[in-house]
Amino acid sequence: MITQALMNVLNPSCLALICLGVIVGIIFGSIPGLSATMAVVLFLPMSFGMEPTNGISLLIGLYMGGISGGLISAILLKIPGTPSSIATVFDGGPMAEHGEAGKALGAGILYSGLGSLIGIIALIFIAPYLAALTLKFTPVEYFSIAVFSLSIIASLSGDSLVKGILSGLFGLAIALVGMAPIDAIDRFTFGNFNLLSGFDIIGILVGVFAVTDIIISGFDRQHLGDTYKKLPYSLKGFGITMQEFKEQFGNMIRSSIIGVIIGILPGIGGNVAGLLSYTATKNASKHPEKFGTGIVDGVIASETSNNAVIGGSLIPLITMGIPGNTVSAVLLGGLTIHGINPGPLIFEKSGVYVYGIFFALIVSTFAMLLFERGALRIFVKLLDIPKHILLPIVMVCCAVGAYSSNSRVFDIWCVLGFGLLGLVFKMLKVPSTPLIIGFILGKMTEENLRRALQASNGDISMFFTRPISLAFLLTAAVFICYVLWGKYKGRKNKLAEDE
Amino acid sequence: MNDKTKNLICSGVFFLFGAFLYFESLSIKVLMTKDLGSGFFPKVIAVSIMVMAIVELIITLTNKRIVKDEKTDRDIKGGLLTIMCMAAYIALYDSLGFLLSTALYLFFQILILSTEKNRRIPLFALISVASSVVIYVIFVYAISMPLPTGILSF
Repeated sequence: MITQALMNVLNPSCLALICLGVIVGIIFGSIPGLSATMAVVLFLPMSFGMEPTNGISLLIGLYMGGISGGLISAILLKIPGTPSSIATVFDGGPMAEHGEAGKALGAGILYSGLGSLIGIIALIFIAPYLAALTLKFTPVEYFSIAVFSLSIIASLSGDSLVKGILSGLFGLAIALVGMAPIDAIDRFTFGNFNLLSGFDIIGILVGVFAVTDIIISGFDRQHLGDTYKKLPYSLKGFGITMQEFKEQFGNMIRSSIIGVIIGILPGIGGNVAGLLSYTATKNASKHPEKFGTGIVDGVIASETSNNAVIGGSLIPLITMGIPGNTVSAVLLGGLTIHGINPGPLIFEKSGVYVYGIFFALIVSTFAMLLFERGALRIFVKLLDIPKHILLPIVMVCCAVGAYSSNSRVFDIWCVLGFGLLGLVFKMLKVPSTPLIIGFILGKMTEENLRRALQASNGDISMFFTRPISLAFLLTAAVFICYVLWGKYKGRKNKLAEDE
Repeated sequence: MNDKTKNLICSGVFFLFGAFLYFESLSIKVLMTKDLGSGFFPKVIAVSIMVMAIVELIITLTNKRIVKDEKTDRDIKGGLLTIMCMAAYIALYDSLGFLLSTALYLFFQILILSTEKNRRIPLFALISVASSVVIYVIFVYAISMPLPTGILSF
């Protein structure tokens, strides 16, 4: 069965499809407003007519390329090309400004590949064991996981914790728009039918992370020419020395473990994984103050982790049919169309295809490393385009990206609206990353809280009596105390210095 | 505008938003027994926003550290023109069609962002038309993702 699967994947037409998928994926991932999800969605109908292994391999190539491609624009344009690479911007952007674009890109690509491989290893070896455990998860556990994930807002708030929390709450509030979970009442739509399904995450991301910056460039147009410099870029191999590789080993392992775990947990995607491991690496670092100023550790943490999510997210997908994030939800559709029914029996019933998925993942990881590194020179050439010409073109791509998900001009208005919101946030010095986290986790938090309380007749004690739930809640509490203590100490030191 | 004013505006705006959210969630009814209802979670968020806005207000008012006025050399005209240009683009997206509206948007937006030193109008016109056509062809013909055709129907 395994040999048959390997033969299917190594067939020239399948290999060609994987390469096509990876290249198109990288392009979709790197253009802001187009995402890995969109690439997979667009090619899904095309894969239906293919032989199952070919079709699924194409989709996997797109997924792999799409998640990794985001790092290119995250580093070169300081705009995450795909939601997963938000955390790559934090240090990748400053690195490029300091003339280290090549190193940031090289390390990003290399660690995307390594992260993917670790994710795949996790998928192959731990899937059956974890399936047994996650099968026991109820809304109680899911709610606690959401609370735990929300607690990371505390450490991403920058100078003002209160403003960070306000931003996160605002994100939770805009996630309320549209049909409510469970009873499907429409909330805060103000009679606009376009809002029934709520705001689209793509619109919010593109608005807050891309359009805001384009509007700001308008306010700053006199300096647009001077800030633009062709960044010196030289890169041999992947820009990482053996010494650095050894130093980053712990970072790599920690970030991939976080990526795999986040991938396994439903509802949380690569974006949260990138942010979580960025924070974890920052907190574990001996020089946390250097994070955000252009340090390769940050890029490595984010890129390793968001690619490790791929393998992780396929664990619950294959064994239980639960999609870990939006891309795997689309993949699930692809699997079912080809008659592959995810579940505990998938290895017996569709073993050839499952092993095919494993091999396709491994092949596409290497294809990604090859193409993204090989064509890096072309991507870096993006910097030659002057900003006053590039930014309007980026805006058009944002508009196309927003429009294409539903073919509605309304979605482009949302992009502009969120762009203006981002502008107001910047003016008032409110951080916008917590807004995104709040938005992503909003529905999951509410739905599971309500389901859990329905099941327990309104008794909240089960959140603390169930061990897995308690563990997540305790971790969240300890994490918040840790951040608060750090801030308190920082302020005390600052006051002492002032005096 | 100094930081103190910014913080005061910030807490004011968030408090009003929280109050509005609370007011709006009052009308959401509970449909099922044993359920908290779809109005419960919005109320929790609304109250949290109001509380945090008040905390921000208290912190700002009790903070005695002097905040210097920030010097800004923001080009208000450039920013407002950019926003207006984007809004006009979106408004004309469907009726004029992707090709025309995009070419026009690109041309004016590049013009707004350029300075006297690097302003080369024929080049801008060429780039605007070429980029619109390239993006259109890629999306419509290569990946069959429909874009509005508007008054140019092909």
